[in-house]
Amino acid sequence: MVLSFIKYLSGYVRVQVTGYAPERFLNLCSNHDILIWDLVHIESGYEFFISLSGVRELKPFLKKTKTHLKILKRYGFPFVMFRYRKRKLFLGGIAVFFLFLFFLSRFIWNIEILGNSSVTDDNLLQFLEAEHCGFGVAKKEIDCSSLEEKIRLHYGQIIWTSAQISGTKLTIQVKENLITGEKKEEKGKEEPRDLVAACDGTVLKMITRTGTPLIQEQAKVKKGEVLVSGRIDLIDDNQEVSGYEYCRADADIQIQTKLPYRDTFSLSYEKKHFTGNQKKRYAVELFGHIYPIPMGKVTYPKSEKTTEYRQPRLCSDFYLPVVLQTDHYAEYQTVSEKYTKKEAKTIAESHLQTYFEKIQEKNVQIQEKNVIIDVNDNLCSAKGTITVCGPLYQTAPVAEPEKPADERVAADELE
Amino acid sequence: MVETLELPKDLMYGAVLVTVTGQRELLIENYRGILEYSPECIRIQAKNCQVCVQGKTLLIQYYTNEEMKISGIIKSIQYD
Repeated sequence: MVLSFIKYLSGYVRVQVTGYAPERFLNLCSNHDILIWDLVHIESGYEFFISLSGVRELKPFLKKTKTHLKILKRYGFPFVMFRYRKRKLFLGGIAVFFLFLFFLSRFIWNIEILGNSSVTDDNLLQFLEAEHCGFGVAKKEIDCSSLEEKIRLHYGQIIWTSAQISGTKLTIQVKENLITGEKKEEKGKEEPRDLVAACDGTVLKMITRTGTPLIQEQAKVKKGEVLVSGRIDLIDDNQEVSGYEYCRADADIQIQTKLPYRDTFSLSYEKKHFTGNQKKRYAVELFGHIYPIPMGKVTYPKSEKTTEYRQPRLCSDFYLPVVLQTDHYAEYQTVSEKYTKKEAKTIAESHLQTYFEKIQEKNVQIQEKNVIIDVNDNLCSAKGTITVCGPLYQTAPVAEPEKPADERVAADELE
Repeated sequence: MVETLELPKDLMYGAVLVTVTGQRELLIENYRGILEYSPECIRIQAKNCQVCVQGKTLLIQYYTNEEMKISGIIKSIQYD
């Protein structure tokens, strides 16, 4: 490899030697320390590679041995230089290219973030940007160890960081402490809260885990009524309330309720009929300014416009500050149409189905459906009630209770 | 004299050195020059004798004042 590079730099040629005594010619070459390689016998003589400096010394040997030399092919850098001797700017361009490459290699052009799950890549990239360690920053300005410390200090959940620069790439590796998050959640739970009914209905089942149940099964409740209180009465030996303890009420409650359903829509509607005519307009967004490319006005009376944004990027995350914008215009005409009774019924049913799915997402079961779809000349209406059962309750802050009598007295005495 | 002084024989006698690697490679040192070269036979002149390498598709990989490397399928090496 190194040898062939040296050969290329100094230049070499493939030559053919023919004549009276080519063997003697070869011996003369070797005696004068001229390197010959890949020597092949051909019909009239020999073919071999010889260095450029060797060729220059061959003249007396050729005369002595009465042989003829024919250069078959030239290889190497000196010949390339000779070929492009009149293209100085081209060579200059190559030099400028390498200089530019060298200059650009002193900056960070790619950032890779590994090991993060709760902190997003974007979030970290923004932080790096704010710390002047983002894209396009000179490598020497980045102090990896201080950057690691800054990340650790800024993000509480990150317990270990590693910042590394290799080439033009900055690799940030982090380890997150996932347990802290859970602890925080638990702390949040400790805040005392009541469970209240989210709507009017009947309590079918109630299993209380923490808190004081205030109603019994089969009781009718109203919206906002407290079902389980987060306040627990502390009763002393005299069976009197001596104080309160607060907790976050927790219970499994099934409430049955009737939901009214009403859906009405007109049978006549306007339909977009696309003519098939389409036009594209381009624009370039540079540093927050939009520069449209003039291509004539879009003359459609009615058209649908879709805009596509494309931001070119280097590597995977480094977006260039240029956005290519493409507007697609599709011409359409509005046509008044009317649903048939069958179509209207199908649409009403699909609306109802979507409504059911929405309810079921909240873990609520549908027990009874009583919806009538009625289609007349202009309107389609669906009316009725749906009986549902599920955890239809929500939490609310505990209502401030009255202080126990003795405590109030004690407080008065202090004053 | 040479043996009592333990001098290298190739230097003192000007003997040819032939190193053969398997059947496909041959290195010759201490020679004077080539006498004949064809893909079937290479004849080399040493100080006291001639070495004739016979084989198939013989190729001189390089050729300098000190040594010569031959590759190809070597069938026989003969001293004349």
